[in-house]
Amino acid sequence: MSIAQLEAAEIAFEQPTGLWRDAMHRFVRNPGAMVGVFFISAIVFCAIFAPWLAQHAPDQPDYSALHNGFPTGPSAKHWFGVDTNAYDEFARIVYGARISLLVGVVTVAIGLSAGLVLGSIAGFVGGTIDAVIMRCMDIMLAIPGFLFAIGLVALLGPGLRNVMLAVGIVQVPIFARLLRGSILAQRESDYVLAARAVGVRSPSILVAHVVPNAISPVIVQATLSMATAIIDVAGLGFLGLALANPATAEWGSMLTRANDYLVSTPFLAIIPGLAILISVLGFNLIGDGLREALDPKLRGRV
Amino acid sequence: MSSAAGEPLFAVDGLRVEFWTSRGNIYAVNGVSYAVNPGDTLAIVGESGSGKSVSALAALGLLPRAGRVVAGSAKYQGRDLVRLSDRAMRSLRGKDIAMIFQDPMTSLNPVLTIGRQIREALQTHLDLSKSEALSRTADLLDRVGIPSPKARLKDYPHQFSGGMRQRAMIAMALACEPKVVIADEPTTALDVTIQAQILELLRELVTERGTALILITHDLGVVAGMCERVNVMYGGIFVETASAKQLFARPRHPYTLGLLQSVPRLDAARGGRLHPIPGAPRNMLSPPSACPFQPRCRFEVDLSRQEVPPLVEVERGHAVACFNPVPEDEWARDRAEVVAG
Repeated sequence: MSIAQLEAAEIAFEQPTGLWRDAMHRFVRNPGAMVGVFFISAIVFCAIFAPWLAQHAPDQPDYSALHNGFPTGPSAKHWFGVDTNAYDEFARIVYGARISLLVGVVTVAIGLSAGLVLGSIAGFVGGTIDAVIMRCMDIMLAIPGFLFAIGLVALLGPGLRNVMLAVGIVQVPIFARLLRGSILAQRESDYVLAARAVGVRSPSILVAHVVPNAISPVIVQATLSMATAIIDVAGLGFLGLALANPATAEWGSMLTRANDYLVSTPFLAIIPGLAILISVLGFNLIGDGLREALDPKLRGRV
Repeated sequence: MSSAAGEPLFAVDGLRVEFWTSRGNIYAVNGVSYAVNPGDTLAIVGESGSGKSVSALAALGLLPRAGRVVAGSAKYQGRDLVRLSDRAMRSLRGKDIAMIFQDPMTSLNPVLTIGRQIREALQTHLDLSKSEALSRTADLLDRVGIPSPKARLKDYPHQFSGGMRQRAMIAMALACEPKVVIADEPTTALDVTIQAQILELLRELVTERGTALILITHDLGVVAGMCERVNVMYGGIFVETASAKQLFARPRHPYTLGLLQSVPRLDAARGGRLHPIPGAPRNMLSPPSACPFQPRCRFEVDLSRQEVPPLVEVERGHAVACFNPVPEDEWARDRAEVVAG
């Protein structure tokens, strides 16, 4: 038996696992992350099964439930009561989950894809292109995110699609900057030199070698950004910018309508507030769990 | 396989490399020339910062951003690599000239499987289907002595030991059967026992294919066992070039002598002292205007401070860049003293 064979036999004791599988392993063992997964699963469940969960349509007023024209509290017929427009609060919460998840996914998809392209080009190509891209990103970052989004919505006009676009654009520089930094750290690494020495083309080195090594902080940020996006859109909804049609169930605009009745029927504000809290907390917990699971210092350990 | 008659396979001529940094220009390589033919083994020996790695990276167009080749040529089969387009250079790299790096721990991409990385080397240059490439990859791993290569293809680098990773790197470098292999300190990061195996493997592979091997190292022990010819580098120039036999029998440059004297010997008398070379390596912020080794040299003469000594042949195949070479028998005498105590 040669030494190489002995070595191989020794190393075979280690379970043949990939780095991603290792990370998954660590993630599953993190209690905080699992709470986050539970919260988000609950929200996803509500979003998917909304028509079955709610006995009422979210945009069909039930005027008989109003008490002297005022919203009423929980009852057997309306579990979370009805709001000022006589809409069923429970139905609006579960249907609202659809909007919030859609918003989270779409805005992050916009921010992530544009940020990924800009950040990787800036980081890998360097020089003037890097300077131009990053100065543009700096300008965008100089404007407070929420104000920037309001400005964009004012420019594009209200409505869910424009709101998602605006919140997505606000997130582009965050992703671009993060990925650029991560790529700069990887660009000079030995395996990039080794790949170049074998004759691999630069675009393939970027896509197949550098980005997979640089992506983990971006994955974490994407999860955290879902939370920010939900808050931003709820905020825009609260300001009345998110929806063209007021009958659409959206958590932020539900808060607006509860505003005048905070003293008489506080649950109208508490319930959508809790829904926002749970979804944001859920995404943040998952993000933190991923950050720990993908930490390169823990790689290869179980 | 040399193209024209008498033309070497790979020849570096008068190569100069500079780095442009915020502290000023760094003159890393100041005119080096060497040539190899199929089956040759050439060692480039020098300490850290002597420019030995940079001269190889420059020839392959792999210098970091700040580095520039300012003069000289690196000809492969008559084509000057320094003036080649990026695309043409890329098609040569890995296929005709391959490189093996110092640290196998960091030279393999941690997120890709070993098989995927070797396959990439094959498929970059050869038009192979995925299954052909996979079976050739397994053959290569087998050839470099990795047991159950088929199963190992799916492993990630962290599942390989240092020695196995360097074997994988060698498999990657030899995938397309290059004519020239440049090994940059291939064993520095490895255990001594593994070092010997890796060197043996390298030697086997290059002799069976008639590959020219350029071995960059600071380890004279490695050179003695592996190479026919040795070029000793200091301060970005070659200070001594000789066959390994000549160099180890009659080192003529004071720096070479210093290197040999600072290697511990197993047959030295007890209580014997090592003789390190005094001083620090030359800072490379100016081009050499005198002998680069002069500040650390006990053989210096007036001329050493005034001119860069040219390489002058002292016997057939043995040249020294020194105005006052070490006497021919100095090393032999020194050794005898060390053994006697």
